[in-house]
Amino acid sequence: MRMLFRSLWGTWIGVALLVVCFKTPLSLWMPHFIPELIDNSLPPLQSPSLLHIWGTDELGRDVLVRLLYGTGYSLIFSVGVAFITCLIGLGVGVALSFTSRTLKAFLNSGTDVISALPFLPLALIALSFFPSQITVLGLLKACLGWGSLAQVIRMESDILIRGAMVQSALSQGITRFRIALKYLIPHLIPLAMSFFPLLVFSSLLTIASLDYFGLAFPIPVPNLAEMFRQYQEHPEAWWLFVFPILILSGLLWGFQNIDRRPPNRYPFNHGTTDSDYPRLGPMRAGQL
Amino acid sequence: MIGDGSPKRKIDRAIPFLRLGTGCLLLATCLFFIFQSLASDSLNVLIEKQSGFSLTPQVQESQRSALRSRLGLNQSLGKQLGSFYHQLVTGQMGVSLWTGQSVGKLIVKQAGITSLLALGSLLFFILVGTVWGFLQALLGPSSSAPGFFLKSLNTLFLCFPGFALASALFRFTHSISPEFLALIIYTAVTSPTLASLVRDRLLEEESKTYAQAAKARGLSRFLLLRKHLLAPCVPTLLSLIPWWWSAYVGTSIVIEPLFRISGLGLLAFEAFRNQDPNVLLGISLCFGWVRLLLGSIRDLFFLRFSSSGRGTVS
Repeated sequence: MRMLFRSLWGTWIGVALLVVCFKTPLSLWMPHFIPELIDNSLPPLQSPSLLHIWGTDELGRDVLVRLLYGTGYSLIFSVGVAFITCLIGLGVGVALSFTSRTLKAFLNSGTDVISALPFLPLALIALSFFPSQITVLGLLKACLGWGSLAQVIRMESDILIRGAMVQSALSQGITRFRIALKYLIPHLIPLAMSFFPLLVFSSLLTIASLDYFGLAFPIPVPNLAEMFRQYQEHPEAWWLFVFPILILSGLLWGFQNIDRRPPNRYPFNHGTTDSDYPRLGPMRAGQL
Repeated sequence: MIGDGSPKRKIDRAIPFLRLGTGCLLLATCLFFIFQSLASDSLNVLIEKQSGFSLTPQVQESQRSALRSRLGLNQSLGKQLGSFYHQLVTGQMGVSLWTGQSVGKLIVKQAGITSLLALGSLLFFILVGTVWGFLQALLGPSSSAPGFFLKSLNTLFLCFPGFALASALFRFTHSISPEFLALIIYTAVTSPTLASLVRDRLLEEESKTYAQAAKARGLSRFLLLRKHLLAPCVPTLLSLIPWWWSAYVGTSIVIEPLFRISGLGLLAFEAFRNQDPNVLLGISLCFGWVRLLLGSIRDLFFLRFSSSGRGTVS
């Protein structure tokens, strides 16, 4: 059952990304596959039929096509935000572990403060100045979402720094920046990547919440939450709720249940060589 | 041995309060600069919208500078920050561009219903989350039918967005009180996370030697879980309180405008629709401060638990 669900999840994501990437050639080849296309031959709010498998919305647009494109756009946004968040969290976490104790305490408070900033009210402030600017929203989300990741990275980075490898490199006069770049960051990337699905989950949920009010993607760009708003006004159109919730919850479920364990052979208690970590191969302090 | 009244212990107890004070100040400063950086380029557009009349090219500059000086935007950044702190200390939090009232007063007026809903939601979050997690642990692993059902239900609600649930329940607003519906949604959004953590924690505790020994001596599983293994779940619960607040805030900003509940969520949405970022700034500040306060309360409880040696600090 789980395998079936996973393959369906993967197929849906793959197709959604493909249709978004090849939107122009696809619209030439299959004119019915345009998400903004309104079917004027039939009245709006058509229930599922052979012509429109998942029915049509209140303007007469195909629900399946809009959900497919909406998944693609939302995923591209969420993955982009998660990637920037990972980069910031990784950089800040490693930088924090090299600072003095007093500065570390101060910066830790700063990280707590960043985590305490509520995203949605700030997003509303941003949208007051930059209406429907999805890039600004993405940057804001990335700038506010790295707190917990940075804390975890800092803790693991502290452990690595206390290890013999880094101590040996420091005694040989290798700069902290070089150690961070050549040793710490490559070792901490798997840990940061283990956070990646959760960050995508969070971004996906956030963008859908804003889309529910039509605030994120500009109209008429398809998104994952517009149907819920329409369903609220037309409660008899069950397909405007059932199919979107299947897709949205399925996507969220998939990102929450991705296997995100960091590698088992994590290089914490090693000596001056790093042969435990297969991807980098044996490494000596002098090679940094 | 360090006694309870020793200076080190006093310093330890003071640290959460110091962190709270510093955090609140940092949060206000951080928000001020975020606001400034967002407003720097587009403030002219906002001023034009708020002025209520179109600006002709001839008088545009004079009107703009008059509006800027009325809003205090012609001052240096340092002075603006100083006056921002002053307004925070006096509780004013600036003036609403939409109503002309003090932002502090507007927030106090609308905060009552949000606070009541938050308290109710917290209560439901703890009760439902703990009982649900307890039942999941009691009914056994996911391989058994009831265990699988409860776990699947938990997973379903974990991935069920609050706004989708709200749109499904919206039709009942005529027959059921919107506040009660909102409480249901807050509980459905937040408690599955607590339930899954409580379940994991209970099963982890159950595998420990003392629990196995108690079982071997004939103690029933229900009694073992209820009387002995629930207590170690308290730190898990405490660690989730700040997270609960973040989830509550995120949901309330969507739910309150939808159900027309006159709380801070509705105020935030109305302020957005009326292009009033001052009110949004005040609301963000309040939400952020409460989050920091809850984090400090959690730290204090952890300190108490760790000093009394009753729980484990996660």
